[in-house]
Amino acid sequence: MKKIIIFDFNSGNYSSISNAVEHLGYSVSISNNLKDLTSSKGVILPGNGNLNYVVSYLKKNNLFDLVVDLVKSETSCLGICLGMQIIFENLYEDKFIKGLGVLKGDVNAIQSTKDKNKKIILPHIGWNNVKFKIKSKLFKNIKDESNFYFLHSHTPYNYEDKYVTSLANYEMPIVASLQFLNFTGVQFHPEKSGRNGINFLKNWLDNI
Amino acid sequence: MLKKRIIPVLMLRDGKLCISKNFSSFQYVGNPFEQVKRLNSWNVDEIIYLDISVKENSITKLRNDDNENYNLDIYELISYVNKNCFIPITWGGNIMSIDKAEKILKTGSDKIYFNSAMCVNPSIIKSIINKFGSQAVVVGIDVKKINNNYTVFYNHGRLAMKTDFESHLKNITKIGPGEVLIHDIDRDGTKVGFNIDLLKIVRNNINFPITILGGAGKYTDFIEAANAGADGIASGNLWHIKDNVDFEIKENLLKANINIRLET
Repeated sequence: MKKIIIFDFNSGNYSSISNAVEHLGYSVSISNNLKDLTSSKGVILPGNGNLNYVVSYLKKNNLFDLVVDLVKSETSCLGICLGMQIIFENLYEDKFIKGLGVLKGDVNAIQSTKDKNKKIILPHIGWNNVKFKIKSKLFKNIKDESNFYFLHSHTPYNYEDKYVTSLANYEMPIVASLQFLNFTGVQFHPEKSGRNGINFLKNWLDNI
Repeated sequence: MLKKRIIPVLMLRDGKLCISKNFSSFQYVGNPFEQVKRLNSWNVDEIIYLDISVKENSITKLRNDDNENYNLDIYELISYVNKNCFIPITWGGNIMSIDKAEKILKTGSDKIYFNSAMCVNPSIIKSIINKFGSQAVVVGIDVKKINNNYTVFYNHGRLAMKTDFESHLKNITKIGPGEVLIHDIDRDGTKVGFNIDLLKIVRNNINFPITILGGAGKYTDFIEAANAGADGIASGNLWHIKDNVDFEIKENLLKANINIRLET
């Protein structure tokens, strides 16, 4: 049985994602141990917690460079929500913190494109359509504009468009998924997106 | 386009699911385990699970209908629920400590719901937000209209808060949860429709998503709440007593041109 590692950020509920992966017939362990990570076919950077808390945790525990190397490596990586956001350069949640810097871009609060001062309802919670930008095997058996579950207040800005594979819209265009080498990033929560989410996870697992 | 969420609320009392009226009369309706599988197979938008047991200790003993002696604690239930459910789950009720909140989140709840804690010890909520992020926290507001003013109640609707309603809303904004759930106690289980006046007041005072609960009876009640600015529209009893609820509610909303997710 193929084994998947969920990277341990020490920040919350990993059972939702691990249940979904186990449901698809894989075994899961939660770890941030180098030996486990390098021996695994696929690593998931889970999507729970606060950006500052997670990046500080990585720094304090000398895991920061390990995650940078992992994201750039041959290993298939899936970053969910915060697990996608941390790979950008600059992160602004509560206060500024330097991200992993693998991709150019700033992660900041969602703002209305039309009027930057408009008071908008945050977090962006709920089901939203995901519009494909690049044909990806990760969306096999999923229709364009399908609903996925989002739960976040922050989103990347000033990023390189070529890595973005799908978009959603909430007051502004929201990066819904991206692909950089073997790193797949998703803003939505596939583990909580019903059948579409399970299909997406299956596609990722089939391709690692 | 972001969709309005239609949310079933499961209420757990002394180990069984129940329907409730005015927070004071309860009727047992089913097995706390099986209902979740059914809702997941319907592919509903989200589930809120509330433990409304009035118990001193933090663990509620559950009873499985098939075997009266089969006792499980809430963590085993949460873990079971999460294994059978690939949609978001919020767990709430009787959470008055950081340890219990953390344990519930780590056991498998995606979000955690606080109500009394917001009234008596909001620092618990702040700690959870700092560690798990604001998106993991829902604050509940139970209210009753007394002498033409809304009063906030806590401890299963039994104690009235001295702080006035609008100050309470300001305090919630300061704490900064991901969403709020508003519940008019007098409408609970009455099927007279949602309290739209209450919804509008909260909408004007709060900048994060609002879910309204209490009073759903007709499918048109959902349209009214959606048009008045609710982001989530929740109901408890309806899901136990009507057939094909999710589809019927959503079809009515679609006819009224309200954005919802309908996937079969």
